[in-house]
Order: sequence, then C-alpha cells, then structure tokens
Amino acid sequence: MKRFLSLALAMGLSVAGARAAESPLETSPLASRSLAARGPLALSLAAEPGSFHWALESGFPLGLGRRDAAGRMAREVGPWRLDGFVNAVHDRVDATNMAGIAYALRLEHARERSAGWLGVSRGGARDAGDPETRLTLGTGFAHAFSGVQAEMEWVTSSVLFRNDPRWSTPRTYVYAWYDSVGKRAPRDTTVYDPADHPAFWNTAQAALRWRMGRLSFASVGGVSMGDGVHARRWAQGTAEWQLSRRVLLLGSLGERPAPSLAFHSDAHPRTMIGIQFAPWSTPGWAMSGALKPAALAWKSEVQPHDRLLVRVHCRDVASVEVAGDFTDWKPVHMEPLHGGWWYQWLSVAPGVHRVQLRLNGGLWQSPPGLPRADDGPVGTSGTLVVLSNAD
Amino acid sequence: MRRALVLAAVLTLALAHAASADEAGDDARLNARLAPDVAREVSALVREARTAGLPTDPLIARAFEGASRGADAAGIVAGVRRQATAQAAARGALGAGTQGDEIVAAASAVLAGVPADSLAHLRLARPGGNLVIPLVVLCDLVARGVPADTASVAVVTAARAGATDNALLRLRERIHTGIENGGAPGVTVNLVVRQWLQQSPGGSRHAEPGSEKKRSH
Repeated sequence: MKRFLSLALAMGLSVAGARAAESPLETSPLASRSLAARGPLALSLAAEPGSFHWALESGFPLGLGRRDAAGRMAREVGPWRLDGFVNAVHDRVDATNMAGIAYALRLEHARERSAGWLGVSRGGARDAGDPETRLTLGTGFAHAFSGVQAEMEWVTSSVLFRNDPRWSTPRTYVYAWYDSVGKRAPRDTTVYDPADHPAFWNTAQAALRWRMGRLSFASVGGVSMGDGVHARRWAQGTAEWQLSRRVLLLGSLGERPAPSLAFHSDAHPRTMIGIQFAPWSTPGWAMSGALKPAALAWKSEVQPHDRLLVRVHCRDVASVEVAGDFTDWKPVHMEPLHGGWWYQWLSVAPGVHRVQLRLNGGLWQSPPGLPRADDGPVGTSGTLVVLSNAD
Repeated sequence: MRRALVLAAVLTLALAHAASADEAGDDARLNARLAPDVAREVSALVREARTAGLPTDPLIARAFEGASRGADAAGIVAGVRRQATAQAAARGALGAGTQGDEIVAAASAVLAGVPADSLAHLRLARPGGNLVIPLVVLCDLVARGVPADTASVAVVTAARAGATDNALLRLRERIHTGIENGGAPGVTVNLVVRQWLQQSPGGSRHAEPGSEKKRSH
C-alpha cells in the first residue's frame, strides 16, 4: 500500500509544477473523456456499501518548443496527449484490503470531432477465481455526432491462471510390486497437479455518451471472452454532474470487468457513487462547454486626467481583454480582483466611444449592460459615453 | 481697424498651424499601424472629413479597428468610408451646429440602420438639447432587433414628452428586460414607452408610440 501511495505522490508531484497547456482540442466534444483535460492531475473516489474504488489520472499534451522569429521560445501544442492512470479497487469483504491495482498509460491523438488511442496497462482488479492480469493492451476510437459521442474499444489481456486444476500437469509414478508367486508386476499411477496456465482474454465494448449542460450520461456495454471463461456480457450506465469547475459527481449502475476499467479512471467496477476532484483545472477542463465564460456586469468610473477605472464582473474566465477606439483597438489585459471582478485603468477622453470585451481569448463581444453600437468587423460593440468631470 | 486685421491674421495662422499639426499627427499614427497604400487612402478620407468640419478620430479608429480584427486593405478603407458617409449624413440630418459627440453617436445609429430623417425628428423633439444619449439609446434598440422605424418613433416620442437622459436610459433597461423575458422587440418597445407616457407627468398629452407611427406613414 505504501508503495502505491509513494507512486501516486510521485506522479502528482512530477506534474503539479507543469500547468497543462491549453490545447484548442480540449474544447472539443471529446474533452470530457479525459480527466486530465481538466488539469495536470485529477483524483476520483467512489464507494459502494462495504467497498470503494479510487483512481488517479495525470496527463499532459505532447508538444515541442519552437523559437519564433524574435528568438522567443514558443510552445506548440499538438494533437497528441499522454495520460497515466492508477486504478485501485478495494475488497468487498475487507475494505482495507486492496483487491487489485492497475497502472496504465494511454497515448491519444485527438482531432476536432474524433480521437483514437492506444494503451498499455499492467495489473488490475480481480474477483474471486479470476486469473492474474499480466499485461493489457487496448485501443479505441471515439467520434462525436451532433452532441452524442460514440466509442468503440478493444482490450486484450494476457492473464495467468495460477494453480488451476483445469489445466493440470500429469505426473506418472512408475513402480512394481511382486505377487504371491514372486512375479514382478509393473504398475504406474498418474497424479494431476494444478498448473499455471497463461491465456488471452479479449473484451470488446461500445459506449454512447450524451451531454446536456452540466450533466453527462453514458451507457457502455460489451462482451468479454477468453480461454477458461464463458463469454460474459456486461453493461453499465453512468451519470456525471459538474458541481463546480473542480468537482464532478459520479454515479454508475451495473458492472464492468477489470480490463474495461484499465484506461478509464471515471469508470467504476460496480454500482457506485463518487466524486472527482481536479485541483489544477485549466480553461480546457472537461465539460468546459457546460460552464460558458460570461461577462455579467460592467462598471466604469471617471477619474481626473482622463483616466477611467473599468471593472468587469465575469464567471468562469481565465483572462479578460478590453479594446476600443481609446486603445486604438489594441487589446488590453484586465487584472483579476476578488469575487470574479477584473479591473483596468484606461486613458479615455470624454466623448462617445466604441468598446469590446474578449473572454478567454474567444470572440470579441459587447460589454454587458452597455448600449450596443453598430457592429464592427468582428463581433458586437458597446457604446461607452464618458462624461468629463465637470459634467 | 488695423489692429483687428492683424489679430485676425494671427488667429488664422494659428488655426492653420494647429490644423496642419493635427494632420501630421494623424498621418504619423496611420503610417505606424497601416500599410503605406492603406494609410494613404485613409489619410485622404480623414483630410476630407477635416475639411468638411467632421470628427476625424472616429475615422482613424475605424481603420485601426479593421487592422486589429484582420480586415484586408479594401475592408479597412471601406469601413472608414462608411463611417465618413454616416457622419456626413448624420450632420446633414441634425444640422450645422451639431457637436462632435452627437455626430459620432448619430453616425453609429445610421450605421446600425436608423434612417437619417429619424435623426432630424429627434433634433426637433429636443431643440437645443444634447442628443448623445437619445441617439445612443436609439442605436442600441435597433442593434438589439427593434425595427428602426419603431425604435425611432419610441425615442422621438419619449424625447418630445420631456424624457431626460436618465429616463431614456431607464426606459432602455426596461425594454431589454422585456426582450430578454421573451417579448417581441417591437411590441416590447411600444408597451414600455406607452406605460412610461401614462406614468410620466403630462405624458398623456403626448402622442403614444403606436399612433405617432401611424401618422408618420
């Protein structure tokens, strides 16, 4: 247990310093698939009566640095990302006993509406009678169709049945004995010892995910088959509710086999409820589409010497820029205040001005509450009437 | 007499010097941000506006806005020309003594789709008064989907009934609330202005927005 905690801590520390880069792909419909889309580290904990399941996911986009014309180092974020998972299930009888732990790496290539991945995993949860999972390879492809995301996945596991009587090793003892007349009678006895048996298990599964605002629903079903087991069909439904930017509530109904869990930290082995926590969530966090950045209020205060103090109240934003004829339409970054307020001092002469705001580097828009002006080349503009101090 | 002539000559020279200094400053700003051929075309439009006594800063701002938003050369020049045309139309409708801020606000209204004759009606409704806020409110209503003639009649009616700038801004907020709550823009404007006329002292003496509209057509 100590070893696992050390590993988890090491993973967390190694990525905590590196804030996840903001990839434009993380705003795609597929972003919610990945916990790591919300930051360099995310933790989840789910429970059922008598047992619990925890998972840790860390991930980062893969990109290369490149020097621009001015010699400055610019980071390029590509479509590839690498995620690491630790998935642990605790025993149903004794919750302090870990029934199994799996470590996985997943390399993902995402496009605007689709993503494909390859993964490798070791270990995993085991129910009574289950073989030991040695190595698991998985691949999947997901595509978003007008709000619904479909995913196909294939997982092949190399398993080992230890000391299983179904695959016994025969041992024959040859001996002889002499009958009453002294004649030698050869005999042999064969003993069957339980033996180790390596095998392959395959799991094919399909999932459909649907998102509505802060809620996300998924149904996943599949069939697992392999040497030593009957083909097993299984299904699970899950629901997720984005409570806040960093906290996600999870619920699942139904069962999933261990190979199916290997590359998804939001999947649960059984019917459970849980919570996910992403302490370093970035603007590219999962379900970012559910909580849209919004400017709620605009306040401006005329100060002496043509200075204007502008404050904007925003929700779910990481950056706010203002531009207008008084800045020669050059964007000016606003500074964060407490409580979702942002501010900036601007040099604005008395008169009628046109002004725009931009949140999180998105589209230019009219500031909230200001009268609208005629539209400019991009987006709507607001009218800012600045009176002189004498007025 | 000679002293007066000398004074007039000095004043003329000072004004000419100030104008040429403004021109040089504008050219320097334009050259710093725009491609040389675009800066030349915009500069010519700015000079025309200055000669006509129209505000020039909004023209330069339009050019910078186009450049900042990635418009091509033709788009930048077209944007500046539209602004210049709208300013000229605005001053033509509001009259020769119109202040610079009023021209800027009226040009925005014209660009948003307000007909020039509505501006003239607004001037008549508030003779001698500053029209910046009524024009800003009018432009805002049209930009939010209120038909231009309905918005014009509503603002002119309210101004004629003595609505102050603050009263017009409050009317605008009430109209927004109505529209955001699902009201049709045109219907909401008529409803809110009619209610305001009934509540304001002496408001019933003035024509209601609907009847004004019928008369104007």
